[in-house]
Amino acid sequence: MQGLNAWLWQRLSGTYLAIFIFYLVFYILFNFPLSFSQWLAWVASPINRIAIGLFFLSLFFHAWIGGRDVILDYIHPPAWRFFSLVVLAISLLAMALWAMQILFWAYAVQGMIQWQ
Amino acid sequence: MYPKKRPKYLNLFYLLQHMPMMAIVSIAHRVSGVLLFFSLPWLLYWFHLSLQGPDSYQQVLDWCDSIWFKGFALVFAWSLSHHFLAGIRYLLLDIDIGIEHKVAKQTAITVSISAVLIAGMIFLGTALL
Repeated sequence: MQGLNAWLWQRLSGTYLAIFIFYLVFYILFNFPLSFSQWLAWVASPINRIAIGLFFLSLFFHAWIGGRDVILDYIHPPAWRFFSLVVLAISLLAMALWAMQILFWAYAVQGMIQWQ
Repeated sequence: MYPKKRPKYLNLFYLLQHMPMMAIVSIAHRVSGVLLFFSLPWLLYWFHLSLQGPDSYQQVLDWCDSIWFKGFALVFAWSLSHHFLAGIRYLLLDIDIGIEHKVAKQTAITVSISAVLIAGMIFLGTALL
């Protein structure tokens, strides 16, 4: 992802992140989940679990483009540059997988509770 | 025309003192982005724990009382609010809104002060809870 593509995707993901964070702040301020079951039900509800999944994808993508720009600007020796880009990519991919696992877990637990 | 004096020396401290507000917002946008990146594992860990069960959910809420969390909340609140507000400013600049020098300077000052105020409000909010 380079040039105009990266520039455009950084803005699209940033826009989605801003909208989602606005939504999340409203939820926390005006409808704070006082119990685990309320929180789980909110996260696992059909619209929110997709919105949160999209949020995480946008977030890690946004962090990849931004982090890559920072590394390319400040780390010049090729070996160090390559190493830091690899560390950035692997850590973001690992965190993205973790985030998806958390969401699937929440969906599964909510499903078990409703099934019982 | 008198001959130009060469070589020309730029005083770094003079440049720093006379740095435009827009440049400060730009640098802070980078710094806050890097800080947000390093806060991601902790946030994911708390998100993970909060959904494991009622006990771990309560544990995450209890951690909010610790001094470590309040320090984290202060840095995180500034990073997020600055990155958020400066990001919206850049999106508007991209579509030529607020592009004039005078307006761009005003919005840069507004973004910087608002981010500090929001961080202070969130910090006080968590400190009083």
